[in-house]
Amino acid sequence: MLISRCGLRILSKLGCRAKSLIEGYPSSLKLCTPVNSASRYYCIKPEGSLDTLDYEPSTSKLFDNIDYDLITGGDEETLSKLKRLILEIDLLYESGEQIPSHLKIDQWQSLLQLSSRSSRMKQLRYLFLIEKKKENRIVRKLERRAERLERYENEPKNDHIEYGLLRNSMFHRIYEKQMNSLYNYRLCEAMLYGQDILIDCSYDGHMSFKEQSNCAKQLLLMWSYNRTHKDPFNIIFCNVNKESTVFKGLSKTIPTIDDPTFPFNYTKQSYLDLYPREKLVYLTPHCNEELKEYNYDDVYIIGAMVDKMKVEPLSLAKGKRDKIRMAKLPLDLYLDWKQGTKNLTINQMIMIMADLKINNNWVEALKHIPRRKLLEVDAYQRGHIGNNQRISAKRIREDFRRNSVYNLLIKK
Amino acid sequence: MCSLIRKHLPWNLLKVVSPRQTIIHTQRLLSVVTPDIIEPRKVKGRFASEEQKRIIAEFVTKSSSTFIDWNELKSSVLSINRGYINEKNINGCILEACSQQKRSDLVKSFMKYVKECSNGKPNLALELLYIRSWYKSREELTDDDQYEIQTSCQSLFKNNLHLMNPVLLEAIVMGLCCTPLWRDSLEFIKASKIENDITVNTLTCIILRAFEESEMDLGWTLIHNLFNRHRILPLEIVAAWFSLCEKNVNCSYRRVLEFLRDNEYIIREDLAELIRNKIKQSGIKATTTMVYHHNGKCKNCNQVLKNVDITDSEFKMLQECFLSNVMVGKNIFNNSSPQELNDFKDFIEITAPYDVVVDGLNLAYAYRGKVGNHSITKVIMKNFIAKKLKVLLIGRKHLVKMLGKEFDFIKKNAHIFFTNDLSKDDPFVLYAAMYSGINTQILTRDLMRSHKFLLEDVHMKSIFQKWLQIHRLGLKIRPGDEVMIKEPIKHLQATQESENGIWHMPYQEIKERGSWSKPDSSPDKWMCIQI
Repeated sequence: MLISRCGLRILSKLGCRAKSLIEGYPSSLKLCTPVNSASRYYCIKPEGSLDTLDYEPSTSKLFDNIDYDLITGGDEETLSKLKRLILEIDLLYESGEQIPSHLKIDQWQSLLQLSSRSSRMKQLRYLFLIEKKKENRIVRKLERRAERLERYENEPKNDHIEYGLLRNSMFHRIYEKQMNSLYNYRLCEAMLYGQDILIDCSYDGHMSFKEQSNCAKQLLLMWSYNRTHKDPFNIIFCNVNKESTVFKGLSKTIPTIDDPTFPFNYTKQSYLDLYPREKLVYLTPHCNEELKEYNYDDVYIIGAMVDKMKVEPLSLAKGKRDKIRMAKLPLDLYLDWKQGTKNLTINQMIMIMADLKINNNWVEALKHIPRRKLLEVDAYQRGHIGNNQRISAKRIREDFRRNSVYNLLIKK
Repeated sequence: MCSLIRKHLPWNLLKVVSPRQTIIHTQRLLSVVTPDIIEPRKVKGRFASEEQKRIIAEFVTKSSSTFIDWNELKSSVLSINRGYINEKNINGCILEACSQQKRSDLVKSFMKYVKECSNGKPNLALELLYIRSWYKSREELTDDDQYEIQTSCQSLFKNNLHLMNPVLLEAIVMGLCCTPLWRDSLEFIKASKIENDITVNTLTCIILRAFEESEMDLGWTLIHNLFNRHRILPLEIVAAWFSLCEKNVNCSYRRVLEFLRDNEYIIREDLAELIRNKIKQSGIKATTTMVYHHNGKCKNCNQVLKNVDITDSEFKMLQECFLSNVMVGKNIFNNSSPQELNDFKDFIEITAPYDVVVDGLNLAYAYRGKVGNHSITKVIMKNFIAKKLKVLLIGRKHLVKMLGKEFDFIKKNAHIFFTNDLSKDDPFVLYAAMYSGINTQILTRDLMRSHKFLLEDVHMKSIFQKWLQIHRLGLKIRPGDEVMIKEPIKHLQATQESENGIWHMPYQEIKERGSWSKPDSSPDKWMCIQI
């Protein structure tokens, strides 16, 4: 009884789509007999429209699950655009392209913003893959559950207390909530006594939609890494526009962002209003000055910007205009760079700065840079070896180049 | 109880007492028990759908008889679990497979089958695929077929006029181009109100049809239309034009060459090969050749090519466009700062005009070694000064450190402007050269493609390219202390006709997708066409 209920709960999450998938697994089929027949949401055609070939999306039967008002916001022009989009997607689907079977409201909106057909197709394929991934994850979960339950049943029964996971155990279970309260306590402590760091969220207009959503993700990773660090920063998001995509994406993943007790600081003000100009240091990869060591009197600024497509020295321009000091990380001094840009992601920056703050040890702090960007031999060790290197950086780099040319030749 | 004992006893003693059973017990609880029966490998989604596609393709290639059991195919495809092809899109997939293999008989029988199944007309996507497959086999159509296509296209257009999108329009135009009513497609395009994003295929279809019907003027206006929008010249169109030329005496291949000349479009190798073959067939000599850079002579006919000429008004436009788009851009702080720019403007106002503007950093990094005990910068500057030219050296402030003692000599004999270490120096070089007049030359090895891109307008870009080509001095460094200044290429690098009727046409290698290609500016392959 218990088994079938668990199975059903997950299935109801999946909707009716999972049926076709689960049919392939007779072992789990037992769990889920009462399921409705599989159906696609938006391209069920009423019989009548086939005869006349009258493609009228306003008939409610065609696109059941699309909430036109929510997507368009009551705008006439967007509505006609949306109808065109639906037609286009339908055509793509029926000619065998890989299209997701269900789209959420924000996904519709992002599709509407794309200007070219090829970019829409790319996005649809991406959404399709995500959907498949989710379906597969749920199927796998069901399988594992069935396996586990089977195992428990086959276990030799003993007449005294059972030990193990989900059974009796010597230790208290530590819930996520308890861990959260510990982390939040640390953050509150940092607000009182810790170091400040500023995140400049004013680059929204310079990023594409994809970059904006990547940026929101990086901000989330950064924030969550910081709270688990043993000596966290007091992060202050400045220049925040609450309507921007970045901040919306961030507040979607942190729903309690506006709670008064939640340790998350953000402000509309510029960093110049918060701190005196002399104290500020803008961290940007485009300048020439290198950061020697962490100065506890300074307040460092990190630009919340992702530049995947075109690299413009925006943060440099900003620092120049506001006449504040600028610095970059001493990457060349401590590391042998292999490939990739020397721009780091926002969460990597926080990781580096947080470790650097503890004891000013660059070698330890720069270990957060991904290994693929560095030369293989002694990737993080240059600081230790100093001048007595057995293998010079130049030789490694030459080896790497030779190998990559060789690889290219093999490929051709 | 057991754990309590373990706490007090040393490890080996525990082994002696042998509580092995307890150890095994804990292991069983914590680790995953592997199943005894080995299950068959699970079929993944991607693999399954490939299998489905394979079944369809096999079926299509094998079947030959007039009566085909489509139901069987469908059920065999749908029996594979987890594939992406399902009941909704299987029809489209089968039809596409049929039309890919150019089996018009199969297409027809499948459409009949679909109509029987769905009691009437098939859905929209299928209809469009059907029309596309008609277009592929358009030579074999009978009159009845044509009539059918015509009516279905017209009804499609009428019903979907308010939701017209480029793909739909493309299919409709493709259908119409199979029928005698192909001229209507132009009106359809106008009525659809999406003239701005018509696909290349749509226009190509109409052009091909127009050439088949010997409608030359219509075809060429459409080609201009296509070129202005997408900047490409599809191969099929040129082939169609040449086949029209063979039939019709009035039109000649010259029109293609004239088109290339007027638009200054540089074609790829495949198209050039086609033109060469066709021209040879009509009995005219066309040979591949090369053009000497230093004097612009053709190796084949010893003719000197035309020079590039830029008019004053064009140059003035370029100046203004450059200042606003490249120098300032969206944000002056990206490249420089307002104060620096004003200083620079004051400086060149006083000291202009120059004979040569030197990109100091580019020059200094060109060769780091010594050329006869001097750095390359000094050697080159000496060279200029000996010719009594007025030189402006532009660099960043850290260049002074690099030059060391030699800086004094340069300072005495040339004008110098150093930008901040955080500013870009290339825009300054270009701007100084442009400001000081049309005769000023630049010494740099940079092709300045990033600055060309920022100009945005196609016309402006071509002016900039030409200007740079005739004013950019290059460097030639040979081992053994020899540095030479390369003179710029003066001849026009586009299709051109000389006074005695010999055509010269440049072309480029075929660019494969994702591969690096040479910059567009210097095509090194030429064709000499002698009438």
